[in-house]
Amino acid sequence: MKPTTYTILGLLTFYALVMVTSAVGIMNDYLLRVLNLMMINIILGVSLNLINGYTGLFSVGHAGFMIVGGYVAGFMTTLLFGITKDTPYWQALPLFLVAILAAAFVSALVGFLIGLPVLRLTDDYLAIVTIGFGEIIRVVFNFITFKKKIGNWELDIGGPRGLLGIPPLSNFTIIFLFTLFTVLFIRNFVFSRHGRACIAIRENEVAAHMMGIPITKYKVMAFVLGSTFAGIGGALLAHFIQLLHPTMGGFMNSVEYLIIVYLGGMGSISGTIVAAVALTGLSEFLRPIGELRMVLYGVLLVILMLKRPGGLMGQREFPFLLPERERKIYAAQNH
Amino acid sequence: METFLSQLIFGLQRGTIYALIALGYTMVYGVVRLINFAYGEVFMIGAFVSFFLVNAVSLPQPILVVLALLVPMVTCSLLGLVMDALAYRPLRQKPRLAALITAIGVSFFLSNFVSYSSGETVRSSAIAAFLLAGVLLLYVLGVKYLNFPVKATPNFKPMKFVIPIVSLLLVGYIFWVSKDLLVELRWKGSSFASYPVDRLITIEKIPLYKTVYITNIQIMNFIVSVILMVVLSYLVNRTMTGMAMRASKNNKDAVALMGVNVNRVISITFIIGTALAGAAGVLSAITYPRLTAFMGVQPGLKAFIAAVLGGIGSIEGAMLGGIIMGVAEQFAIGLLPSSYGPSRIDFTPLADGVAYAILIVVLLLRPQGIFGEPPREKL
Repeated sequence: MKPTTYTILGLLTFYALVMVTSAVGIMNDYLLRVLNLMMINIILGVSLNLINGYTGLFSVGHAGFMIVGGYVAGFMTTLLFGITKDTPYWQALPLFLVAILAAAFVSALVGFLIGLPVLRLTDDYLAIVTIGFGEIIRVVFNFITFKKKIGNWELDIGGPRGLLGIPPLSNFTIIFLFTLFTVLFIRNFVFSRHGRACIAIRENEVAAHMMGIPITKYKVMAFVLGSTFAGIGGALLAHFIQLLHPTMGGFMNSVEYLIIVYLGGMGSISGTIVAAVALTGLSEFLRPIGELRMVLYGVLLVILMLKRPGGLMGQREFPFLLPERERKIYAAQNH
Repeated sequence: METFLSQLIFGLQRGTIYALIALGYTMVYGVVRLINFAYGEVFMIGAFVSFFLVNAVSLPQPILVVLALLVPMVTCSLLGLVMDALAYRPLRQKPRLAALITAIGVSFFLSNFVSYSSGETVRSSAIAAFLLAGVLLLYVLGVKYLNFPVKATPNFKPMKFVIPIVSLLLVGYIFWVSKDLLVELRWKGSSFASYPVDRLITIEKIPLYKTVYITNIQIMNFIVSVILMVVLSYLVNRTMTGMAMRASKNNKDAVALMGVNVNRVISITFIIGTALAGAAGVLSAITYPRLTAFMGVQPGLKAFIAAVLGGIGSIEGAMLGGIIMGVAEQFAIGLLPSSYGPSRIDFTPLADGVAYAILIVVLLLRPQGIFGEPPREKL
């Protein structure tokens, strides 16, 4: 059997295991929730890693893109399609998928509009602009409170109260499939010629330019792709926690995704997955100590940068995440 | 006209606070090329230290005002030193992004630590003690293990003993004071602390022109900021340290070759910047007496934008940028309608976004800012 077959078998077993255990009742709702949250964090972490880790741009506004996607999808399912808790799932599912697509599209558009002018700037400025963007998003969503009746539905995304009553449409299967899709897509992108161009830009922008790589094009491409998947993650998250709040798009949330990326290792998908699972698990585990968790996060980030600037995995990958050709090179290097 | 003038006064007041924080950003950025995201948190800690001091000590008003300004400034500069020594200095030779991330980590740590400590009565009273004690202990450790910042020459050993002993005495004193605070201070279950302004100063309105008036708090604000800025200009333009600072901005290696201790210059830059941020925190607390653990995030970001607007690295730029930012924001608050049209749309929340709109416009039209020089690419 080929190694890829093992990977597919492993994933199928994992999926079947979760479905069976949760059906039988060994896996309770709480554990399933944690598992779902881990996978959503994987989506957001891996997409941020494409921007920060692989292309070397320093974006601190990931939560901003996430919440744009969340609001778009939440608005569509809750207000536009009028889906409630009681809508039959088979009826709601296609509409939900449409909403996720729309969320991805709008996030990509916003990413493009932000990215095109801003990506000419150097890293510090990019950081501050992306923070500013997250804050603008927060201010704008805080502002939109007006109620208007158009036809028989009401336009009200809540303003400072947040968007409430989003139907719980993200279940394990949906989140699992989207996580798989995200990881696979970004892995394939990273190991394609476009991904190599992005890595070249990270390593040395001037040299990459000399080699004929169109810098702005690839920076914008990575930024837009990252924000697209952030939008998907946001849509899933919104329909998972059934609530959206403007502050979710702010600086504090973006820092959580940054920590996932830097803990795992800049430029390592495996690292991001490990870090997302570990940090989500840890934060559930540390729930009894409450706010102290955030204090520890700050310390963790500092110590990590001082002691292990490359993150847990550095730039290495698990063999099963590598494409066939890369895996051979990898194996040859290790023998 | 009257509205315009009074808005202008409020705007200037807001602007001086931004300008003071922006100075810290711009000075450190000029020398080390690091955006110290934690300045907003230093600002917050300045306000809190002053809050605890004013609550704990009962002295006549004029003395208390001076103390309430000076003690936070000293505490904050110690905090700045420790921050630099522990989080930024080890990364000086590493890529710039690493230091940027630790800066975010430090900022996250400080704000969440205060937030954590300020939840209940007991914890809220212990916070000042812990912060001060922590800062001083770290300072002692810094002196001991990093030989920092007082590099004792062979014939000046006593410093090595004096600093730890003084620090320990201070820590002991703070703990002793905070023992009484346990009873005295309560946040009364609210999510914020109210700064006791009336202990410092009795608010008076002084009429200027028709309905325009200026309060004595505003006058105090202006006087303090002008004094600080004049002192800073003197320090930077007329002293040897200032010269070293300006030289390090151009070329750190060359300055080191001239026999200047660059690390010391950087430490001094941090001390000055954080002291200014602490003063800004106190002034802001007196003006807007509502303290929360996250009160520094927004002013910090906006002050950074002010520094970018003025041209990051330029001191005059930071002052001007801060004032422009404050006035612009105040006018936005004053001019945006609070209920517009038939559906009564409230536009005032948008005033919060003015700073970021300014940022984006500046970066698109003149990325180097008003006084900045365009960056040159070196190969």
